[in-house]
Amino acid sequence: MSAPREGLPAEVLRLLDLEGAAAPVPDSARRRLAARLGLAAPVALPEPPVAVNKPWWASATLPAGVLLLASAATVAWVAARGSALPLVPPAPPAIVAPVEPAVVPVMPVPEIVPVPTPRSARSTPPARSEIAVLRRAHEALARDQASQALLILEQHRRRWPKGALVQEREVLAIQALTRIGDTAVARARAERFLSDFPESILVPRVRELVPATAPR
Amino acid sequence: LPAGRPIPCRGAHLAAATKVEDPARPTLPEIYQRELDYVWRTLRRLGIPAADLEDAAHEVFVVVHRRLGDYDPARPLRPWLFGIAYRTTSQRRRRSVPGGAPVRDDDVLELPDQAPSAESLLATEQARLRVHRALDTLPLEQRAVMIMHDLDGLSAPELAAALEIPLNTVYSRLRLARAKFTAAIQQPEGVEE
Repeated sequence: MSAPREGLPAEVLRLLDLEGAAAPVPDSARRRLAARLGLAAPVALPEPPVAVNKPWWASATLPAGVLLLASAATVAWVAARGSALPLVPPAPPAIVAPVEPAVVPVMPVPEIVPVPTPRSARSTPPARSEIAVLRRAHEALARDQASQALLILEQHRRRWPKGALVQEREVLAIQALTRIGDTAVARARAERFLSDFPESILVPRVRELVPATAPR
Repeated sequence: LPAGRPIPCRGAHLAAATKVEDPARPTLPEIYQRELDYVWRTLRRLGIPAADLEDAAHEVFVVVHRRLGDYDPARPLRPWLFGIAYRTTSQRRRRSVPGGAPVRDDDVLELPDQAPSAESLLATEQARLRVHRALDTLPLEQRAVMIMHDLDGLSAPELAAALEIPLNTVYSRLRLARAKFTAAIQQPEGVEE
C-alpha cells in the first residue's frame, strides 16, 4: 500500500512526516457540517451513553485505555480522600444515575492507604465531558495521530486547567510526545509530572514512557 | 425507504435518502465519521483556504452521497475520496480563483495557544505551513500527485485510477512536482520567487 519516497532530501521527508499529523477538523466545523449534511451532530464526538443500571465508568463502550485511566483517576481520588471512604466515589448528581451497590465494579486494589493530601488531590470526580475529551485524545493516539492527540489535550488543558483528570492528560501528552519523537519536551513534562504528583499511581507509567526519569 | 439496514442517524435529508443495498458499502454517515479528517486535510493540502474548507468539504460529501452507488467497496475508499476532493478543488478554482496561490495566512488562526507545553504543536503547525507554501508553488495536477504519493502513501497505479490519468503521466508529474517542491522547501525563509 505504502509507496517509497526515496530520493527526497531528509529535511523534506521530516517536514512531510510532521505535516501528516497537522491540526484536525475544528469541532465547531465538524458539528456545522454534520448539520448541513443532515447527519446526527454527535457523529464525531460520541458521548458515553447515560448509565442506567451501572455506573458510567463501567460502561463497556469506553475504550479500554480510557476506562483504565478513569478507573485510575477514581482510585487516586479515593486514595486522596482517605481509606475511611467507601471505594465508590459519589456520583455527580446531575449526570449519573443512582448507583446500585450490586453492580459496583470491584477494583483490583488490595488496600487503600491514607496518604497526606497532595497537590494532586481531586476534590470532585471527573466530569463526563472531561472524560470524553480525553477519550478523543486516546483514540487519536490509537490511530497513531499523536499530534492530533496533543491538540485535543491542549484543548483539555485550556478548558480544565485544574480538572480531575490532569494527571491522565499529562500521561497521554507524554505518550504522544514520545510517539512523535519530541523526547526533550516529553522528558521535561515527565519531570514536571513527577514533581507535581509524586504520589500518583501513574508515576510508574510515566517512568516507563520516559525511561530517563526512572530512579537510579 | 427501500429495504435495507436502518439508517444509523437521526433523520435528515441526505442521510435518510442514502440507499443501502450492499452491506459492504459504507453509508454516508459512516464515511463522514471515518473520513472527515482525511477529506479536510486533503482539501487543505490541495490549497483550499481555511475560510473555505467547510464549504468545500460540504461539496465533497454531497458528491460522495450522489455517487456512492458508483463506489466499488472492494477498492480502497481514500483514493476515491481524493478524486472527488481533487475535482471539487479544481472546479472551485475555475469558478472563483483567477490564478495564483491561495493566501494561507488565515491558517495561522488554527494555531493553539502557545503555552510552554505546546512547543511540539507549534513545530507541527510550522511544518504544515512550510509544506503547504511549497505545495502552493505547484500546479494543481502535480500537487495532487505529490500529495497522494508522498503524503498519503498511495501507489502510482492507485493514483492513476483515482485521477483517471495514465500511469506514465503519474510518474512524470511526480518527478516534476518533487523537484519543484524540494526547491521551494530549500529556499531560504523570506525569499519569494
